[in-house]
Amino acid sequence: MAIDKKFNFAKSYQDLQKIVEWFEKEEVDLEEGITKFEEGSKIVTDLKNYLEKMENKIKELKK
Amino acid sequence: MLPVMTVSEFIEQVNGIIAGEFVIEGEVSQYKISQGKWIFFDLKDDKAVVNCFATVFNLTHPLEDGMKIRVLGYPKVHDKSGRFSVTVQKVELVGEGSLKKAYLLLKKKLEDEGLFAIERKRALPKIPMKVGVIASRDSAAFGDFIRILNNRWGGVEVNLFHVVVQGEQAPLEITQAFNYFNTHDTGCEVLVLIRGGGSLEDLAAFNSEEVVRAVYGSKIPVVCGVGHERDESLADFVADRRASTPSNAAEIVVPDKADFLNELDFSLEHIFSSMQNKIHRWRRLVEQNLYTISSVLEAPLQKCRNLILDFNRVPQTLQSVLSQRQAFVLSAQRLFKNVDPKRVLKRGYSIVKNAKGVLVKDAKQLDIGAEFVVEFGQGSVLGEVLDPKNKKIKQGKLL
Repeated sequence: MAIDKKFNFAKSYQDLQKIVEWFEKEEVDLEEGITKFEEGSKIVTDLKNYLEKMENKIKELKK
Repeated sequence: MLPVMTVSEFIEQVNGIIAGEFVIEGEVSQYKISQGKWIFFDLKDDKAVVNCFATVFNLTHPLEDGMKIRVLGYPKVHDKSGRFSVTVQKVELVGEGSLKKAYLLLKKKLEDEGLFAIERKRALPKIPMKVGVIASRDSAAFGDFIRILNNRWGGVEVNLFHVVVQGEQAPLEITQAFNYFNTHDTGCEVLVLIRGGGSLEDLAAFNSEEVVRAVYGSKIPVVCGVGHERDESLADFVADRRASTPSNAAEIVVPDKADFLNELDFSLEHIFSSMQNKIHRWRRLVEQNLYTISSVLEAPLQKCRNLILDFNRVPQTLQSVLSQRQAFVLSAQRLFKNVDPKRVLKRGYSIVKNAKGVLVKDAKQLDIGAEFVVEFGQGSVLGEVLDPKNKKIKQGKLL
């Protein structure tokens, strides 16, 4: 699987939410806006990619 | 001849004879709790009554008059009172009616204690990476949960803690499972307690006080999904989220992939349009600023331009002033010609001036013997005043 093991879905999703919130602000810096936009696009691609490929794992706990 | 014995010896002997465990089924009446610890009630049928004694610690079900129960206990005659009673070790509810009553009683008690309060419900993680499941591994409930989970979402690690969900062992195993998840670092962000539907007797474990308290005490949020939609259990009420079925529990725990992808697209669109919007605003701002700056710079330039225009008009102005002057000079010349005294002299008038060349306008200006010059149209003569008395006449003549 071509997914980076370190990729943390929930964390990435949180990051995306933060970026969306950041854009809700009235006054934003242009340069920072472009960086954040690029970052957001990358996260969306990563999340989609992850969702396409990942399956659920089931593990039974040993008591 | 029978032996004579003391009361104590007699009671001791009787207790020896009747010793042993018995299971007695009957209806509860005269139920009361003393000092919050001791429980007294009668167990009866149509014809007979027996006193029962229990402590709150070994009575797991709440009881009420009229309930049908099965008691496990041993009979005893008490030394002090001489009363005969059954010391209860365990109580089992008999029949749907009793179960229903016990269920309602416990529900009321826990509700009053605040275990079901809405305020203490916790939010579930939107996207859990690890989910702890407490269920029977071979149950349809667990199968349904996993099927729906796989249909909706990917990348979740499910940690199953297998338990029996029915029978005497069930409450203990379920509480052990909660204990395990809360004391081991499994990383599970949400716990799911599920089983299929059933009768009130089947669901007994999910209605037991131990399980309800285990759910209540869990540090990790709990989703509970039992049976079919119409089934309810006390575990449902105490859980942070109640799922109507095990499948519904999966729907609650993970988002739907299709919905999520839509949301992602929407997020991207949102930040894109927001960015675009801001760029437009910035552009307008820049244009506005540029306009302000250029209009500020334009003002002195315009002044200068006006100045040049004004300056260009100077020769023209000068020219007109010059012609005005010329016209004035010409008209003055004409005027001067008309008033030239010499022209008057030519018409026969004369001018008298004194010796100093000052024009004489009055005879009084000339005394006797004073010299004067008379200017005619042609030439002049020098004269002397002979008789100032005739000044007036002379003056008159002169003028």
